[in-house]
Amino acid sequence: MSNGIDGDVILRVDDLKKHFTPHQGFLQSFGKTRKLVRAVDGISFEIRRGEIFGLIGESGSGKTTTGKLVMKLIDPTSGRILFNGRDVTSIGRQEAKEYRRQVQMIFQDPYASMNPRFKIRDVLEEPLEIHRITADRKERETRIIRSLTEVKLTPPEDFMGRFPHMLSGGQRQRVATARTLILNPAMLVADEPVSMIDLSTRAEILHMMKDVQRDLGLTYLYITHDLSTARYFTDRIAVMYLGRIVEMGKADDIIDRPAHPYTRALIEAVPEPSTGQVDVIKELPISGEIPSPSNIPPGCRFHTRCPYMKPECKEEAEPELMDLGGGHYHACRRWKEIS
Amino acid sequence: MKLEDAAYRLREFWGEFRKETNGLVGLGILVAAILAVVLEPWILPFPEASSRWRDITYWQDNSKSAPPAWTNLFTSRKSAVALTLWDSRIEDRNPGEKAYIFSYDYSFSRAPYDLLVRGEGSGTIPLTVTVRRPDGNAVEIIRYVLQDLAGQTFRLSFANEGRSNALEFLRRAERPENSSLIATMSYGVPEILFSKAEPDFVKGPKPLTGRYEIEVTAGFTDARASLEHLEIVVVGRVSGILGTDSMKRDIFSGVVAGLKWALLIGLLTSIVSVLVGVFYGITAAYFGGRVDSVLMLIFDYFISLPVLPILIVFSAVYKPSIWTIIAALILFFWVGPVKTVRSMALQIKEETYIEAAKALGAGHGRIIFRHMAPLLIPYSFASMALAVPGAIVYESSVSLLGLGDATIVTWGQILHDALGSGAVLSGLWWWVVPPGLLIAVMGMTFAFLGFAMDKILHPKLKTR
Amino acid sequence: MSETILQVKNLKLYYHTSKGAVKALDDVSFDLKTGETLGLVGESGCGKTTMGTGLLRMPSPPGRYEGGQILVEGRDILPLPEREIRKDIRWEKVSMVFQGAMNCLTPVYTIGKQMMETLQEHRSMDKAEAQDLIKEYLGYVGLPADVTSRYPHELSGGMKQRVVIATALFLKPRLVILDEPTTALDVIVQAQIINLLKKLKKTFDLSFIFITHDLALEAEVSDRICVMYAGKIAELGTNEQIYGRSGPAHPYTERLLAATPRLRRKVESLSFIPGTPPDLITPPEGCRFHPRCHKVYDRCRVEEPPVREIEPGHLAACWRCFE
Repeated sequence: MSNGIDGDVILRVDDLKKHFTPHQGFLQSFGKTRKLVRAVDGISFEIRRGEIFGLIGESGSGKTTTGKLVMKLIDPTSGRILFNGRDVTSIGRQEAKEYRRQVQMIFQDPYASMNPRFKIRDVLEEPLEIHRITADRKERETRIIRSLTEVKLTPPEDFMGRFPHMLSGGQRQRVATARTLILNPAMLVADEPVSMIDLSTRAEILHMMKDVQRDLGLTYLYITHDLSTARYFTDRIAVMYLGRIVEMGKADDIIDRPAHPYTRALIEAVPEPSTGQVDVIKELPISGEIPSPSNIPPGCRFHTRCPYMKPECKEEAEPELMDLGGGHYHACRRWKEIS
Repeated sequence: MKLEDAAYRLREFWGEFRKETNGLVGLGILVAAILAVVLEPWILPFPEASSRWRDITYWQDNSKSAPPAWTNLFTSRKSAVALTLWDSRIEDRNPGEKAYIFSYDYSFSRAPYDLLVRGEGSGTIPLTVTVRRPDGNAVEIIRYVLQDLAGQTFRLSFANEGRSNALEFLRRAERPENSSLIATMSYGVPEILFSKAEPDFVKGPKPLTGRYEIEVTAGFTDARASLEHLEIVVVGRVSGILGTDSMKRDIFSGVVAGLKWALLIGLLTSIVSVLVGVFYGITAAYFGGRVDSVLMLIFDYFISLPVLPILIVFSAVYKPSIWTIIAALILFFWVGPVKTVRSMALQIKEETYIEAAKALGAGHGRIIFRHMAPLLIPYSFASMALAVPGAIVYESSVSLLGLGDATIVTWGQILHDALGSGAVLSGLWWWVVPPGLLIAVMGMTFAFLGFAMDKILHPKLKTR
Repeated sequence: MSETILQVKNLKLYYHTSKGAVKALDDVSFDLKTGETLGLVGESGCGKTTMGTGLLRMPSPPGRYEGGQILVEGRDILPLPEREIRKDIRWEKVSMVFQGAMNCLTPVYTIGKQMMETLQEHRSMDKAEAQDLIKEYLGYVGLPADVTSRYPHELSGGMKQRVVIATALFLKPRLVILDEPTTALDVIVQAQIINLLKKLKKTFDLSFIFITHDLALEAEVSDRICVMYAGKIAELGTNEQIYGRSGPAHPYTERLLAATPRLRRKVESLSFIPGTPPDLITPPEGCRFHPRCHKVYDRCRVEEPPVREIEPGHLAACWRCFE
């Protein structure tokens, strides 16, 4: 099912940080207290060519911001992004445009991600126009048809003249995928691509995305909050909490043998379609609510909610990712005692 | 936007526009106005009204402060209507003499102010003007010799040149006891010519209706003598479609001539200022941050400027032309759409497909022109329509104060002259009402158009 | 002592649009006993949300009841005048947590003020008494009393949803309808809210109607599950009958379950159901699911299967299941 586990690294992220200073009034900006939202607070990971890498997190985890940083839709506060070995953290407009040909994005909302006034043909032609690929009308049409066929929207001519609102959610997401493929990218960033699609169609879209990946040798960065689809779809995952990665490794490893308490709580919370649970009050190894990213707890940032918390978790410095072996990393100081 | 798409949207828009009675009324009036402007040279009784508005020689043969001709419909005693007789029978009399015979059907109760013989002549030409009345009398009213003309226009006034002959004609018909009253009577040559020649004329002449013939006999003994464009001008008591003003100017011509300036001012101001304002708003919204702050600061400054006082001072000091007035108006009007466009643009900017376009590598220009501007076109049109009345009224206000462009005629200027001459006090309603009404109507037309368009194309909060 | 508190009999609710009548609910029947949670599950357009507002006699316009009965404690609420429904039924006997309700809290009023408003609409009590009641129920949902002086934007998603639940409970209804109460929440908060709902159900001996598209969630929450498709009931059974080892009866339920990704079991391939839900203005002939069914045969295409009991407590509308 998966390949590229031992392949070379296509994307590497090094201690990436993104801090936001929220909009303040004119007078407030003179004051000393400046609330800093540390959306992404020092993450590092590698994605190997041809693999599907999942970024898992709840809201406030920083996963969407990470996606935007990788897409270079926003600039990082510090840290590096390396693509194919080259540092692309701060590059000029021309080079950024070239980067965009190689790294493309599929958005969560299949309707909102396309201009509702564009016909499907226009939606797919736009990337070709932007990157000035063949002025020849016929050749463009061929490429568009090829893309539509790739995502199994057949007959393609049928769909080209329609507007987005005439298509179902699943169909629109296929068009969105086709739009990314038309530039022959090397990597796709997919931000919750199926969360707004019906359950019975979800698998179909994920199927299509897997087929496309295999056929074209793509690499995916798959961002989601849904651990279940992540297990099905991804090769390796990284679990994010409040802007940091707390656990990373093969999807099966992490889900079957989670090391970090947060991952454990996440797994415990996911419902399972099996019988006999109705009268059971689930034991959730987690308390309280997620803190605000502008007010991150000292020490291990998960300590405020951790059932295994000890004073050292609060007082000592934030733990870095530790190697458990077999590509499984986690950031829990007390892992040995807990397991 | 491709052509078929544009055509499709236009048809869609028209389908909905048809249902708006307001809009259709507005559109109808606008079409009529444009037709009037196009056909102006053929509609205007005085084609050079606009450029020669202040040239008194152009208007000198009109009646002064005469009500519109159709007011006769509402009176029992009909006033003579201003008219130019230019068609004449030409008969050869004694050798070297030509008689130009004009027919005039008279059925009025109140005689015209005057009659004029007008033409272009060269050389020395003796002229005799005889009026043949329906009662059989022939009155030789004028005997005059045109001296040494060199092709210029001459005019002979019956009231001036024919007074003695007319009075003599009256004396023969009147009672001897009334002859002393003749000297003091208020009735002039036209009354004498067009009333029954009977006793007690001085006490109240009775109109003599019927066909009159005015014969102008010209002698061509002089070798160089020639006569062209011979006309009889009846200086009526009522004149034209909208009457005349105290400077004898035909108000209908003035008003129709002013139509094109109104449209020009309105449309040019609104189109340019809305275009500027829309792109200003989009730029501020799109670039945000410091650019937005600076642009909005400039905007705040402009919007707090009081338009009319500044326009007035500006016009008083610089004595502007219509083009500088338009430029000044644009300078004030561009702020109109900015705030709304900026809000709309800010919302559009947050749409995912804008982000998607950026992710595809689209640059600023593409996002602004291809994704944002098309959504703002509908609002822009509505905005333009609604800005037109404002522009027209501002120009009228400036002209009303006597500060407008002196080389053209606008409705505001007509109003200015009317009020300055005390038209209201003198009861010269035909001078005041038409321009004022038209300003209101033209404003209303564009307001209707704008409302109808706005209703159909109004800025949707969601761009879906 | 368990009694039937809700009976829905042959309920029909159509939306009359310019394009025709959308048969959102087309002859639906089921019962609910005290202390029981009935899950309504299905994809978008199946009619489950229509059912939610329909049970409160608040169909979204242009919806209209075209037949059937809704019996709350034996009393048919469909013919009742509006003021009687407001006085006796709505929020008194039956309350609702709407989809996305937590985002409908007015941003300009404090939580306390909003809860007070609802309370005072229904009960005349003096302010002190009302405030005590509000704080009591905030306690039941695990919120501190000072929440009353906060504004919605100061609260997290989970906290807002707890406020909404408290508001749905403080008039002591017998039945609470919950429409996608946790869809917008993170998975851990969702689990916490579900735990809370289970506790409240026990404490107050409530009945729930739990509407969601998430089959896995239904399994954890509902005693009985009603699977809806295209405005009709496809299958109705106990938790064990649907999720147990023998598996569900209706092909649709079967495929839906197969399309639900599992966390704790490695799944090689997820199935999906080809096609899209049908047009409710002119639904297909015969069984509404037949164009997408992997077990279809000729009878399904022409004759619509009735809802029939295939084993005690287990109903299905499928010709295959009757064999």
